[in-house]
Amino acid sequence: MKSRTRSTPVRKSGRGRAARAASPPAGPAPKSGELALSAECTLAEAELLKAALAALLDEPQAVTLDAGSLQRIDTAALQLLAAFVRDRRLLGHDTRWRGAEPTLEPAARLLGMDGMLELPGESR
Amino acid sequence: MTVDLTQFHDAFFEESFEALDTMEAALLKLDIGAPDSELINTIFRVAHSIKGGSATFGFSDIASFTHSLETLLDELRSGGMPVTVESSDLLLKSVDTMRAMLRAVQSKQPIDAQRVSDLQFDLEVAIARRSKTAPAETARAQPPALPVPPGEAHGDEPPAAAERWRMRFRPFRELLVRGNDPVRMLRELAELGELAVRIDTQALPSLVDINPQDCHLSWTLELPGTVAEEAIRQVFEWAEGDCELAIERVPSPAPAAHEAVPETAGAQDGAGGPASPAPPEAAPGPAGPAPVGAAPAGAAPAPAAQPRTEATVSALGDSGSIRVSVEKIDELMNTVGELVITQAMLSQLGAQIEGALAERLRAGLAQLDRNMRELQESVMRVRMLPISFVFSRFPRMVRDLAHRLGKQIELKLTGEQTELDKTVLEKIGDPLVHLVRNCIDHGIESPEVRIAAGKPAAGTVHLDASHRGGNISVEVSDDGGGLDKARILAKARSRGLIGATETLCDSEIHQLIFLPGFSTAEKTTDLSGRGVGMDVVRRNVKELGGKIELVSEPGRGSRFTITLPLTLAIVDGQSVAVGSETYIVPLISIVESMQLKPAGVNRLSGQGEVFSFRGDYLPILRLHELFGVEPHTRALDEGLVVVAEGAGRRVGLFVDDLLGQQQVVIKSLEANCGHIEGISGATILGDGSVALILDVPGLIRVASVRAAA
Repeated sequence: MKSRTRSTPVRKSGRGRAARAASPPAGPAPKSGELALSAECTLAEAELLKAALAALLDEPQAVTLDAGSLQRIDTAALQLLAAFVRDRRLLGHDTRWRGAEPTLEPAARLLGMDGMLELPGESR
Repeated sequence: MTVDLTQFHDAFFEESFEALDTMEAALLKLDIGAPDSELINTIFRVAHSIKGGSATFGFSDIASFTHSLETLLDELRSGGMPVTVESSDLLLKSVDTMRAMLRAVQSKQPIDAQRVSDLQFDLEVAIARRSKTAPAETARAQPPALPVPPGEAHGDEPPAAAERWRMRFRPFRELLVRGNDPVRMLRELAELGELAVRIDTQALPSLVDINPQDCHLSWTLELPGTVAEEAIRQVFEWAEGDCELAIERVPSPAPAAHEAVPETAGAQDGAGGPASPAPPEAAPGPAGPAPVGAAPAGAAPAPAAQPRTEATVSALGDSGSIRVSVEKIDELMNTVGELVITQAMLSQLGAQIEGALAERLRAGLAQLDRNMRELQESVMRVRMLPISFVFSRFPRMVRDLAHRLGKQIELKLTGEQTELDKTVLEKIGDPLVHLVRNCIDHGIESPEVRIAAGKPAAGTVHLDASHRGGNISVEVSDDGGGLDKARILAKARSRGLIGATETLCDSEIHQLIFLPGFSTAEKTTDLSGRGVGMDVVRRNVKELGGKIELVSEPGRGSRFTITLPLTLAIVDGQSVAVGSETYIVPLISIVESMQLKPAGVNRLSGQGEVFSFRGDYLPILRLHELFGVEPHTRALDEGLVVVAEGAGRRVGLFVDDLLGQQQVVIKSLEANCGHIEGISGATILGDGSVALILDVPGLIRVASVRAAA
């Protein structure tokens, strides 16, 4: 599992903010079936995150959410992710995670939504 | 950046005084010899939080004193020191001293250093005596080993009981936009102890329907019982008003899980901190949203939680509430009062309107009327407080008085949850204190006398509150010797209050004790017997629009019954017309209304006009004569008689017509016009005119004076 973690260097938050201002929080030009979460996924970026997730909702291929660059996530973003994963499951589509361990997993666990997000740790 | 802490002083004082009340109540419930560990924890928490607060605000004297107190409490809760009458007295004295210190600091007065250091010395002597003598016993009496919450900062929290905190946290939608983030809040909770989390995503809409700004999630959380409630509440402090929060203690099915619950494991890393390279994989635990409170099998069974513990906690703890200043509520109350007037005006207008839309308008007005009533009741309820706010001072008072007078007294409190208006509540406290003091001082006999009379050595003082119609009735009764009529009579004669040969019936004799300057106490104590008291009681009760009654039986005890209106602000009234004037008769006073036949009316000498009403003759009071108004009719069979009751007597009020029933907001006349017998106030009617509100007991007095004249 560890080997799957992308070794993206942690962006400094200052740069993260600059990048966010210029592009949607889901990162620049996502590949089909993949969405890289930006460093900050909070209430302020929630609208953009929702739009990015909604675009991938009906993607029949497995979608990979990359949380490797994530530095900060709050409840607003987590509940969007939870709804996304749940809705895709209901549609019969898979969602996978990459780089969730450092930031996303602890936060999701705190809220008790690690199971719902189908985080890789849950397979244990 | 410096923060000006003085802005928090008021809140600290207010909370500390409340906490001391809680501490005092818990101390009084503490059984000597077999103390309830939860009560000791409650007491400890109070001392702990006051110590913390005073240290924060730089009140070093208080912090130092509470530190000694806390050390003693620590000995008590660890079982290292038994709870004795002495230690309980010492703790009660400490409560008084802390209260005095806080008051002094609050009013920027010097603290009574001598008193504080004396007591602190006593506390330290008790602690020193303890630690010298019983290390072995201490070890034996230690509670069973329980999981220690992570973080040294919480090592000094109360010991684990076989209970857990359960929090139901239901954020309102706007929680997130108000700057609260459950991730942060739950992380803070996880820092207090092993946090078990169960999320409820039932309300989470599908992604496309989500408003990203809204919170659609809610949680059930559990923490070990060792965590201080206050620490939990602090976490939710900023979310107050943006969520529904219920914190309760629940018995744990087994001691808290020994394994760390995964939530805690990752918590310290946090989502916001620098990314930790090591994922908290090492932490095993129930996978997924495990049912909260599930514990590994095979753990030692928890000691059965005492059933009374929970009741104690619920009685002492406060449920989710917000602090609102009285001014704000009064303002709200005033606005509602004005709304009631506006609504009355609209209904009056609506009744006169004709045309196609009139029906719809009236339907709307009827709904407005219902809503108004509900709004008004809700606002009134905001002002209502349980009478336990007043009752709570009595256990301590009774204990101290009984102690000083060498009497054994059991205090029984019932109906503590009966609610009444805050203004009424504030003013009823002192009269009740006088009555209870009187019961203890004059009513209850010494144990020897009681035993000789075949009664149990311990006397009972009973305080009871209940709702009766639109009134609240508070009874103070004792099973003491009852009033000594002979002595009251003798005293009244010697004071010249009654003539030497005048004979009085029982109830008249009882009324004597309410006269100013009357006391039969053989020796004057500082408790009662100074002749101020009962007259003050009666005056206060009357000022509240209430009455006080007394029943006493020699050898069996006395019972004082205070009847009070629920509120002083709004009254349900019947408007009546007399000539061009409108008067309001409080509905509560009205027995019925009727048209009289001239044949049923007699003229009795000394009583004026009377009419027969259910086998009784009632005087007729012509309101137009009383108020000097030109009526539409003077013939009794052309107008109506409203039979009204007050102060145990009835009277027929002759009016031109009945107009309608409505709630009226009482506006005091006394501030501008002084007291007018028979009038309790005025109100503004829908058409903007002023109507006087009749005071039926006052009218009856006026009627009897006029009849006698």
